This record gives sequence, structure tokens and C-alpha cells, in this order.
Amino acid sequence: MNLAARKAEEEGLCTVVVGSAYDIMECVKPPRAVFTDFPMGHPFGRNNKQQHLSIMKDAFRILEQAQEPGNIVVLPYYWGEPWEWIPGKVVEDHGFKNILSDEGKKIDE
Amino acid sequence: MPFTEYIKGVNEEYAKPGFVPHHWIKNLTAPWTPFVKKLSDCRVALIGGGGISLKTQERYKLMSVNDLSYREIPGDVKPEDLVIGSAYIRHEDSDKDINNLFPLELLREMADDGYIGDVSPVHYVCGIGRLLEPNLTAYSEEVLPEIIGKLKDAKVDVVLCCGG
Repeated sequence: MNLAARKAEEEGLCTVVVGSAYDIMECVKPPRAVFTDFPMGHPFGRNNKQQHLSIMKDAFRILEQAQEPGNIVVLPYYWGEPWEWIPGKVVEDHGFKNILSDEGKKIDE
Repeated sequence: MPFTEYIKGVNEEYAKPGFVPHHWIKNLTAPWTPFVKKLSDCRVALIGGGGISLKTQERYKLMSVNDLSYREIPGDVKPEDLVIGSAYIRHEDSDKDINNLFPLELLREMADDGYIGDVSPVHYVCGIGRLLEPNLTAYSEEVLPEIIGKLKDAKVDVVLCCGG
């Protein structure tokens, strides 16, 4: 949603991104952003209402306080257990040929 | 880099024969709209991903590629009326609590508490899966401006972008 944030700010809306892919956020550079070191797809945490609200309030605080564009504020939350993103897991789960087919490639058997 | 290296991992994966290398956008600066209102006077909207849709809408493909469609989500939707459709993320926990990635229910609570002004009548889900050119440019130059125009029509002040 980093690109969406940039486009919205270009059009006069204020934004804040809550994201969990630091390197991608650093690359795309949304105007205001907070980072939670959680597995992709869980930017507000895992099934914990108090944590969800706390992260939302952190994000709104950055919205109010940020003085310049492009900074990423690392929030001090812990997923609760070690986790690891495994490159290629999506490809493995879905199948290499299926993905190539989805992308419109001709598959050589 | 102390955090997960998604770019490196994806680049390695897409170096396999047959894949088009992923194009990463690299920006050196960012746009900026000064925040001048009180948050308690602001109308807030969500823009999210994760292949979320209403159960009554067409669902996203689990491995979407070049899908420029977006879903409009009403501000009063119940969490149980939403569904996550993406194989790019694990969502067994979020199937039980969608606030993990799209906290619209909690945004309403924050409005009720006076923390924000109010909740937009419309919210959006977009940018699902992989976008290969020329679709990435179309997403940026056509789809996002259309969504943002609708948010402006809805008098939105602030967008909470969920995921990134």
C-alpha cells in the first residue's frame, strides 16, 4: 500500500502506512510509515485487539507528529515467537508451472 | 538489514528460468501533504490488500497476476461479511480476526470514542498479487487515482494504508 499512500498524498490526502516489509517500504518510500516486524499479512498483529488498537494509535501519532516525508518508524512489538519467511514457499505451494501459466507464459513440458 | 529481506528473496526466486524479474520501484523522495487538522475532526478511510473482498463480491484469485480490479468496502461492513483471498500471505489467523490486516471494525470503535472524527462510508482493497508492466504503471496512473478520487468525493481527510 506504499504506492497508494504516495498517490494519495500527491492528491492532498494525509496518509500513514502500517507495513511489515521494511526493505520494500524503504524502496518505495511512503510519506509516513510505521513498521511492525510481523509476518507479511499481519501488519496490526495477530488476533489481539489491544495490540491492534495500540498499533493504530501509534500510526496516528506518527501521522500527527511526522515533520518530513519518507521516514519509517520501527514500532517495538514482538510477534510472540520466532518466525521466518521462506523465499519460494508460495511458488512451492502453488506450483512453478501454475504460476508461469498465471503470468501468461507458454509451458514447455 | 536486521529485518526480513523480501526483495533479495523474491529476486532470487524470480531468477529461475521462465520468470520475468520483479521490477522494484525505487524512490528517493516522497510526496507530502501537511497534517493540519485535529485527528478528532478527521474522516478516516482504509486502503488495504490481502485479496479482501465482500463475500457478495467477486473474489480475488489466490495467485492474482496483473489484476487491476479493486473492491469497495462499505464503512459499516461486519467482519464476518469479508473474506481473504490470497495465497501470497498466510491468513489462517486473520480468517478468525480480519483486524490483523484490515481493522475497519476497530476504526469504528475509535470514532465512537472520539479518537478520530468519523469513518468514511467507503474503503478500498487493491493492488493484489503481482503486477507486471504495463499493468504496474496502469495501477499507479489509472487505478489509484480513481480510488483516491472516490475517497476525496467521500470527504476523506486521512487514509490508513494497511500493509506495505
